[in-house]
Amino acid sequence: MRLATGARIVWCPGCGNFGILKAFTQAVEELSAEVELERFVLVSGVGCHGKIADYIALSSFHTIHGRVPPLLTGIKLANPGLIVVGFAGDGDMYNEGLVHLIHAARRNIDATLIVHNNSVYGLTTGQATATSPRGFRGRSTPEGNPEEPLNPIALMLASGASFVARCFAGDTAHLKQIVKRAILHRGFSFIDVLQPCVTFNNTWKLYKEKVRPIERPPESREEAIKLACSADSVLTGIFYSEERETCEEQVRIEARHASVKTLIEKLK
Amino acid sequence: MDFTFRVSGMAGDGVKGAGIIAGKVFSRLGYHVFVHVEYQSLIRGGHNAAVVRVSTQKLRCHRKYGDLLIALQDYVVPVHRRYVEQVLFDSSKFTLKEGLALPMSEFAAQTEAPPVFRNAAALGALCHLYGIDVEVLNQVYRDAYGEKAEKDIVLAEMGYSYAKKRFERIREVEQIGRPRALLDGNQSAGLGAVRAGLRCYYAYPMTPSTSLLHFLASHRRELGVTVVQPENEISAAIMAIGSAFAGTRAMVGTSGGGFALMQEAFSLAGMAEIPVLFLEAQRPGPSTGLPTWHAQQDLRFVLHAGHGEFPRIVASPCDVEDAFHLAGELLNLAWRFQTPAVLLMDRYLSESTATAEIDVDAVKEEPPLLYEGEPEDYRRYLITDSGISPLAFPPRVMLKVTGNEHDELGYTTDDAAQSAAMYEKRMRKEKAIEEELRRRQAVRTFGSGRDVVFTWGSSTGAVIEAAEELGLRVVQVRYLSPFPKWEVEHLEFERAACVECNYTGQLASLLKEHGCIEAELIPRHDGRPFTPDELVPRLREVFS
Ligand SMILES: Cc1ncc(C[n+]2csc(CCOP(=O)(O)OP(=O)(O)O)c2C)c(N)n1
Ligand code: SF4
Ligand SMILES: [Mg+2]
Repeated sequence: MRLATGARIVWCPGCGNFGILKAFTQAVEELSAEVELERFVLVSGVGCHGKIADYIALSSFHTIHGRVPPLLTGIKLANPGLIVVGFAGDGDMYNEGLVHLIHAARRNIDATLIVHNNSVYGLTTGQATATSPRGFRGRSTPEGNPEEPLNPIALMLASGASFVARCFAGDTAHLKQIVKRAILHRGFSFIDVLQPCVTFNNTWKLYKEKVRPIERPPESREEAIKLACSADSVLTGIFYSEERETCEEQVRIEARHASVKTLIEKLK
Repeated sequence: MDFTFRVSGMAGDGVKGAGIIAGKVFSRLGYHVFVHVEYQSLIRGGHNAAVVRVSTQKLRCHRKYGDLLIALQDYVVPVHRRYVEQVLFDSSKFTLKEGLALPMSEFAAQTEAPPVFRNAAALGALCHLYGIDVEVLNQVYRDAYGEKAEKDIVLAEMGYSYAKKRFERIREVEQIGRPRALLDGNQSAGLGAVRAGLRCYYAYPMTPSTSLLHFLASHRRELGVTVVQPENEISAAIMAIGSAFAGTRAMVGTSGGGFALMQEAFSLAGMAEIPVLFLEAQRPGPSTGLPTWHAQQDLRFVLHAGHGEFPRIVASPCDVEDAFHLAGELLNLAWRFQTPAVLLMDRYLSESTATAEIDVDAVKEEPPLLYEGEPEDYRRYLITDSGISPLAFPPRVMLKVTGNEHDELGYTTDDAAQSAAMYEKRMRKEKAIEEELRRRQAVRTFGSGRDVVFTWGSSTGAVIEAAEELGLRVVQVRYLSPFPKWEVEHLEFERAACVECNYTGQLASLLKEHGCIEAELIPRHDGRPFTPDELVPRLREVFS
């Protein structure tokens, strides 16, 4: 792999993260004809997923737990020429940093966010997250998770994300295609990736049985929300995509020679 | 010449605005002005006041006693009466046994202006009382409100002529010099940071830092600063870290509660060696405390902020000019040493508006240590003697940054030797910062005398005035981290006091820790700033 670094990969053999790493690096390699690799900046959260920053030879910032979206935003506002891609965990994004996710979607910063959704806190050894099913027996919920899981797709659609998709880490060809579309999409692109965790929540079999592509892409946000809420199988593909003005287009001020002296004159 | 007047009413009466407009009349005439505002955390009702002090000498604080109260509500009169000679009041609203009766509300009604415009009539009368041509006030209104100033001007003229026929002048105030700039501590700090290259400002509203958010937002284009109000303080701090990572100078502004939320980000900036300037404007805590009042309670908090150990640069300015210089210095130092810096403001400085002589050219963007080698050879965390590794940014280099312990390239490590080496590299910067601060004004001394009063932040203003009266020397500790031990440990003096607005004596304990200095604490923790009038007897007690 051209984008490999020297870092030794420390994910469990069979972890869904390998699929995400493979699909992403392939997507970037395919895009490299159009975009200089130097312009990529990756941001990762804290969890097993967060280690991905060490495994890809692109600029990166491995930040703290839950804070991927504001970091993407700060980088993009500083230099809109950079292509920013975030990697977050479900605990990272749907628990610790949920508030940032919602606001990043509303704000429509031109960034891509990939959530490694294994429905478990991997790195802290198997507690329930916001997407763990009810009844999930994690190490902190020995009698089963008493909480209803969150629906990230519906949440992102309702929050105004301009590109919302779900993928499966076991289908890297599809994931690669969606990642490419997401990166090229101007605005906030959100991909929830179903990522089996072989050690604490092995969903390989479940997802292989249940994952189905969206048959007919929804034509409106409302339809997309309905679809996101309805499925009994797990649907993958793009739920919704629209173009609208981005955050940086609206709020970023070009650097210029600051007229501090003139302003002080005005304060007289 | 040195005199004071007050404006008071309820929230919604435009008390602060009236105080600042009045202040501007005098700053236009060449006087030094200091406007202290008191208000409560509510939008209508309650009790607001603006204390305006005018002098031929530089001002850093207000005085309690003065000439006049402009009373917009009857219930404010008993609060202020004992501090003033006379009361000018809205006689259309209430009556007083004695005082200067001005039918402000009737005038406002006659001009079909909303009631809040009655201030203009009061300020017109004020012009008469101080022997000032009302045209000076009219021009201040024109400059502030443009076309919309019409009614203010009509009302100012009405108040002026009414007063001229009935009231005796208090003083004759003449033009003594060129107009002076009038701004608050936050605004001044913002401008200092802009001079040092600030490009992004991130802040969530919180008194008393909010005036900077408003100021930079309204002037963002002419200053070339991107201003964003994100979802919370955590986001603000992380956005600033993102911008700085990408090579752009960024700052956040908040108060103690917001800074508490930023702890983990602050620590990240320390570990990842990201330069960000944090403006922390203190107010009384704990918790929500007295949200609109004054305190200096967060010194220890800021010195120990963030988990883990890493160098930080902390400084606290004493007045509006100092805020400009220190904000600029700190942003430059943060970039030079690639570590977070805190400009520790306090409510009295942040929100008091004062005339300032700002030497704009004294602050410039100082370039950090930049990497000049080949992109492929770049090591973000190159281990050096000074601890400072050259900076480079994407897309020029592949930049690897992390909040985990890392090797020179920026990859995560938990190797013992590597971790220790990187830890030591970061901590070596502290020594380098100290060497730099030895060349700067880490403390400032005012006056002379065998006895010394230590202080910090905006308390310095009142302390200087009180000390002048008593022949004491004042030492303002300007840089607080690294603590300027080298300045205090050999200081010669007979007796020492320490004046600060907290309960435990946070500076006093630092003086003891770093300089073996036993200073008698003069604390204040009622949410009010010290004034010279109140300090003189307390200092006299200590040094008698
Ligand atoms: C503020 C904070 N709280 C808690 C932790 C401990 N922690 C590390 S990883 C993690 C959970 C990660 O779960 P997830 O985001 O789902 O990532 P995964 O390991 O499953 O990829 C937690 C809670 C932390 N690093 N920081
Ligand atoms: S614990 Fe789970 S998520 Fe973490 S590396 Fe192992 S399989 Fe992957
Ligand atoms: Mg997880």
